[in-house]
Amino acid sequence: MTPTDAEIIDRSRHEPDAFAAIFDRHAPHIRRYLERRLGAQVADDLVAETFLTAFDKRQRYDRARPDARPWLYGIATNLVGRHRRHEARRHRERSAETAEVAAWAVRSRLAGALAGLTAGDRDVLLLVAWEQLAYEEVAAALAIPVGTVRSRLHRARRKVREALGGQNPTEVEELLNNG
Amino acid sequence: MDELRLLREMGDETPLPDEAALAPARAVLLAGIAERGPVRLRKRRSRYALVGASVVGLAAAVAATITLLPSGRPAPGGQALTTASSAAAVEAEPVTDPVRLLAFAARAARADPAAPPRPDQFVYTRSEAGGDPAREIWLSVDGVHDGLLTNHDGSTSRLPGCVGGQRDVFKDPAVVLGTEPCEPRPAYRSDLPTDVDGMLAHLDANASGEPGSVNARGKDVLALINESLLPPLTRAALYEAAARVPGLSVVRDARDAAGRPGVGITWPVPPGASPDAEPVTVVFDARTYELLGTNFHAITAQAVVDQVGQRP
Repeated sequence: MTPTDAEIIDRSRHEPDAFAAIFDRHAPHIRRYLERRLGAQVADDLVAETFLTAFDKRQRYDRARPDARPWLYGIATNLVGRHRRHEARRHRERSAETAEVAAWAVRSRLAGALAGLTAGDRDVLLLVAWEQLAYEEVAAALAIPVGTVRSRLHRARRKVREALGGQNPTEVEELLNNG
Repeated sequence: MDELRLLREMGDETPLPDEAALAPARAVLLAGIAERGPVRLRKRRSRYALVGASVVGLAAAVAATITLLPSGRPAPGGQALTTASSAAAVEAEPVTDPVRLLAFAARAARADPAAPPRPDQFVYTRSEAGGDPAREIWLSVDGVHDGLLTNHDGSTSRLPGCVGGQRDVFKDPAVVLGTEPCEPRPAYRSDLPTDVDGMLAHLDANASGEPGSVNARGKDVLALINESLLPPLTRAALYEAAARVPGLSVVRDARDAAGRPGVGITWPVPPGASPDAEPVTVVFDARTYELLGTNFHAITAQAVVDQVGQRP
């Protein structure tokens, strides 16, 4: 019987080393999330900080949640928040890359759209689109109501669509598939 | 149009990292866990991993090494700092009250005639722990120059200085990948308050761990003097602020990790600590009230030097 995250975190209150199992379970996804948003070098730094912060907060972990990943995403997102300018610049740089191939043109407009979103909208959009979190999980991760998750996602998606230049979807699909 | 799918494809360009890529972060986490407060399992010494000289990685690894600078005299040209400041040496009456002991330490710090180091110099600290080889670190006085760390495990890291808001990023000492934004982290902390109330406010504003935790406060105090150099008045203010922490007690015959005898201050391990947890004892010279180190670490050499790699 594999212990749940909640059980491991519970045990780590008295056996700190047990917390390593939380790292082993979730670090790959948390690290990838940080890298997607901030690039490999900053992600290198922040993955340890995310788990150390989680370790320090473990006494306050909600035991009713067997899966700790949304909680960890929330902590990681907070740390991303301290690097907002770096992230926006990074997305802008990606959008500034010369778009030789049509597919990359779409890609670079996407990146430009990400750079232009507000921090809160971008957090929600990327936790849903990249990390596949359910609305309730995003709400738990960011400590906001589910209704706010929906409205932020709606606004973010609309802005991204606008940035794609109102091209009709089939054209974009074709560009991606054949560009 | 399904822009979510387009976004997802963009995200898919970043693969999941493998175990090897995560190993450095895991080591930093374990070192941090091992050193969170005095919860340190005696049988399992952690090694400190530092990959790239990142501030966070460094902060975590440094936090994992509780070392204290003796209040000393920065000496240009690399003379050792530990001087018996006889002016501050107090009567040989054994001290049993932590508040008095810290007051003596503050008085000794205040009497330190040290001149501030030059911005282009380095604070050199050698610390020893257990049977491991010494850890040596050269930290830039102004945070602008490149420092150097030789760790207990023999690994070496460049510590990039912050020049014009940018510092180098590298994977190993030879390969610079680019630069990243930064703020200088000076080893000489002339930015900190010099009065006890200001210092308490600073400690409160930068508190780690659970609110009100004596152990976290002790760690924060140690972190402030960890391998950096505080001006005499700042150091004195820090000792006086530390004296306000409840639950401290004096250890009459304390020894640092190198076995040097002194008088110590300790506090209980936090509730829920492992049964193997050993409390931290901060050890002062019983005559001069200068810091020697802790029961986990000993500062065996410390100096202001002109260049990285230079030893006193």
